[in-house]
Parts: sequence; structure tokens; C-alpha cells
Amino acid sequence: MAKKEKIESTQFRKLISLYIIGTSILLIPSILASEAKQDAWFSAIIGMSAGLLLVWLYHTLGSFFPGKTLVECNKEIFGKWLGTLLSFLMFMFSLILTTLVLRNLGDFLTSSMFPETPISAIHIVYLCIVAIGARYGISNIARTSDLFSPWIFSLFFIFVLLLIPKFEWKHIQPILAKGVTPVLHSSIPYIGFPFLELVLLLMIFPCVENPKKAGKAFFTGTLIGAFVLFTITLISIFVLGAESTASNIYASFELAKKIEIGEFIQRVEVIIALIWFITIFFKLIICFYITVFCLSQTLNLSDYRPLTLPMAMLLLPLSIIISPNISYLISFDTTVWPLYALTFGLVLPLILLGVAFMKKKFFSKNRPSQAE
Amino acid sequence: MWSVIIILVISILITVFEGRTLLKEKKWKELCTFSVLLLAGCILNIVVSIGIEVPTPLEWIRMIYGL
Repeated sequence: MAKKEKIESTQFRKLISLYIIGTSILLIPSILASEAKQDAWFSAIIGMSAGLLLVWLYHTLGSFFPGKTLVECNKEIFGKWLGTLLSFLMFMFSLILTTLVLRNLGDFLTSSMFPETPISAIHIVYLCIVAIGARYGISNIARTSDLFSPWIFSLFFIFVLLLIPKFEWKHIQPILAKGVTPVLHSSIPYIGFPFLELVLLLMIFPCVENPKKAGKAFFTGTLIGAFVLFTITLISIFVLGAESTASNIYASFELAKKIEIGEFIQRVEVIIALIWFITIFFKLIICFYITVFCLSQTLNLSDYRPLTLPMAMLLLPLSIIISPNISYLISFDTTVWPLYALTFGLVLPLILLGVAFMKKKFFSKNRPSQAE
Repeated sequence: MWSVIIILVISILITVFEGRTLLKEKKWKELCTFSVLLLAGCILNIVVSIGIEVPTPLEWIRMIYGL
């Protein structure tokens, strides 16, 4: 194995929150509001609590195998062949996730800002940056997050502040008019979309220097990310209302168009869009890094770096063929994706944890000397 | 036609850039994975740029989960 790179726990926290905010900040308000209507913020809270539970599971799994990535856990628990097969499926999962993130970015830019530009041109530009960034390694990605996260959070703060005058309290009423069922139902895709994907971060969890602080960073990072998503959902409902939030695919972009200071500063959405450029970049680069790293560990390669450029080459056509149009993508995100993510984000970690627990118990009973 | 030529040129450039060091260090397994990925990427890129319709892989996942 290649020499392990190290990242600090604060950087890990920033990476996690950026990973959660990622593309979700664009898509989540409308996905949540499409069914839960004005109670979408309630679904966001439910999703957040489910996400924290999931993080607890991942953290337990991560601290059960200290210093081991998810692929190495797989191989240790399930043996060589089954472990490799499962790791390969894991790699497919992360590859599809990376493709979807890239496609989301392309769709967002072509439909909102660059209507004349071909989508592959945007993909090429972004893939170049991401491939170069991933070649430099995870510690460099983490340092980049140090550099950019103050920008994102201050811009987000300004974004919220400027929208406060536009709040209309009547949009949020009546609360829970149709009962709890639609609220619970619409939180399912939300759990699948950013939170179940967190399982992939177990690939870089062992890189964090201080394992104890890493667990804490995992929680706080998730909390920050989920809180940002909750805020954006709440604001969308306050400003746009439930109907309009549900009918705009990119509700938060629509939100940025509403900003005006006095009568003369208007349409500042492109400045605010910097938030999305940066967060999507981070989500993409983390996914890309994990995809390549996952493949190289599955096949027992000594280094992942030679694979970055061919992988970028492969992602480009995949991102074009992955979906014929945006509505297919959204319907996939809300129907199939939660199930698919559940298989890898909940079922697999639970099985891993269960088997590991049984093994430990068994070994410690019969052969106490080997348990160490 | 031009796009195919550009794709081929870029693939050759990547091969020269990465493959040479891999060959020098005799990392056969890495070289193998690298070539398979690059070949797949190259072929898919050409197929897409020519304009042949490729069914989306998401449809398979949808079928596996029976939706």
C-alpha cells in the first residue's frame, strides 16, 4: 500500500460539511417541498436526525477497524473473493454517484446560466480541475477546503441576511395540516441523497490524524451540513412559498434571484452562485477521489494516481449517457436512489458490523491470545 | 470526425504521460487497470461523439430493484 496521507480533524469536519451541502443545496428544497409542501422544514429535521444516527453507525464501524478503509474492512471480514466482489460493487456505487454529481452540475449550469453552451464543455472543464486535484492527494484537497470554507459560510450568511426582509410568515402556515405521513414520506429521498452517501467517507476516515477527534468531527460536520440544508429549505418556503419551491427544480437559485438591496442592487445570483460552484466542486472531487481510491484498493494496486486521468476520460461519456434529461434524473433520485443507497449505506455496514462483532466475540471466547 | 481525432490524440497523450512511468517501474497490474479504463473511456467517448444512442446504466439499477 502507498504511504498514507494525513488530514487534520478540523479539515475532515469541513470536508464532510461541504460533501453534505454539495449538490443537495440546489435540489433538496424542491424535492422536500414536492410532497411535504409547507412542512418541508420538518422533513429536513427528520432527515437530519436520521443522518446523525447513520453517522453514529459509520463511526462505530470506523472505530471497530482502526486504520482500515472500507475496502480493507470488506476484505478482512468477507475474505478475498467475496470481499473483492463487494468492494467492486462499492466502487460501482461511487462511480455512479460521481457521474450523477457531475451531471447535476452540468444540468444546473446549462439550464440557469449558460443556455447556449454544450453540456460536455462544462463537464470537461470541471473534470480537468477535479482530476488534477485528485492527483495531488487527499491532504491537498483538505487544505483547499480550509481555504474555501470561510468563503462559503460567509457568503451563505450574507445570503440568508439579505433574504430576511423577504420573509412572509403566512407561507409556512398551516403547520402539519395533512398529518405526518407526507412529511415522513418526503424525508426518505432526503436521507438517501446526502446522508447515506456518507458511507463512502469511511474510505478517508482512517486518514484523519486523531481517531478520537475524527469521530467528533464526523458528527459536527454532518450537523453543520444538515443545518445549512435545513436553513435553505426553511428560507425557500418563507420566501417562495411551498408551491413555487416545489415547482422550481433549483429552488435555491430562484431564491438568490429575489435578493435586492434598496431598488438598485438586484440580480446578484451569480455572486451567490459561488457557493454552489465551490460546494459542488468539493463533492465532486471527494467522490472522484474515493472512486479512484476504491478501485485501486479493490485491485490491490500500489498507487491510485495513474488511474485519475483514465477515470476522468471514462466519466465524461458516462455523464452524458447517464440520463436522457433532467426529469429522468430527478425521478431516479427520488425513487430508485434511496433504495440503492440504502443497500450500500445501511445494509452493508450493518452486516459488516454484525459479522465483525460475532467474530470478535467468538475469538475472544475460544482463543483469547488471538483476540488482541 | 474531428472529435474522434481529438479523443484519440488525448488518449495517446495520457498513455505517453502515465504509461511510460508505469512501464519503467514494471507495475504490470497498474498498467493493466490503466489500459482497461482508458480503453473503455476512449471507446465510450467515441461512441457518444458519433451520436450512437447508449441506454443509461441507471435503467439496470432500476430493473434490479424492480421499480
